[in-house]
Amino acid sequence: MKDVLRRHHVLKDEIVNIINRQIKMEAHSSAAYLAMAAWCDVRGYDNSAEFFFRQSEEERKHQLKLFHYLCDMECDAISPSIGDSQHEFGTLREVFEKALEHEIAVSDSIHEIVGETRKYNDVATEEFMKWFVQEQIEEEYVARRALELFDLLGEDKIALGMFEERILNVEYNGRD
Amino acid sequence: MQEEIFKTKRASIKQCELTDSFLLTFEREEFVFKLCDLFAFRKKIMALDLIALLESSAPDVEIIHLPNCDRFLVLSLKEILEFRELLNGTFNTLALNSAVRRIFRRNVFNF
Repeated sequence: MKDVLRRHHVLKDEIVNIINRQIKMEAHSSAAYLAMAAWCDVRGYDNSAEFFFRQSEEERKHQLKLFHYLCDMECDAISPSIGDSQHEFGTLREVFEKALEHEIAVSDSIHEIVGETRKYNDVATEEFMKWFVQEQIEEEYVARRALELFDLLGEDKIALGMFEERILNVEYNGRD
Repeated sequence: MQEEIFKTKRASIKQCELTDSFLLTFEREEFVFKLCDLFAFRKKIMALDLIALLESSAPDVEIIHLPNCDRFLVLSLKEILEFRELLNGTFNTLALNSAVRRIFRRNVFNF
């Protein structure tokens, strides 16, 4: 008897479920960053808004990358429902605090998936997830650096102006 | 060529070797599924809330729309249980076959 299961449903159910959970998380992150962008935009923090619009796009790309992977493996990719995002923040710093919390939660979840792939000896998915592990190093670094700018500059009006000037230049250079 | 994968009292699932599809027979009715549709069908059957069905004042039946075709099934509680047994048995057999085939594949290159 032909092994139809292996031919047409490459991944184990447990791996499919955990990737679908990650798709939902990325979708939620994208929506949350959009809410942060809106908060910054209406308060005149244009560059911070741009930063979060870009982040929102990034998370959407992550979501699609995972989604396409499941489709390519002929597994069920589930388009997620997304809950409400936080739209109210006290200060600009608080927005960036939330962003870092988000990134840490996403990193934990990615590491959990890698753990599961090892449990089921799913070498292909583990290899696929390596890109996300690397990506999260970058995302966390940028979120942390942004917060450190507040420590460096303070939070008065002039400092916030300086923060705005710098935020779009925060990037991860690996070895640098 | 079709091979029977699992059978219950009134239903059975066969695998077609030529088309990689599955033939579900139930009360002389036949339904053809691709593997992804069989997964979707199993998901629907397993997601049914039997307790709620028992507790409701409505008749104990569920209407299940079959994936990727314009047919549906009206299943009683007993039939839902039979379908669960059928689908669990089918997927366990497929997983077992997959494990056996994996061992055979080691000899494909015959080094």
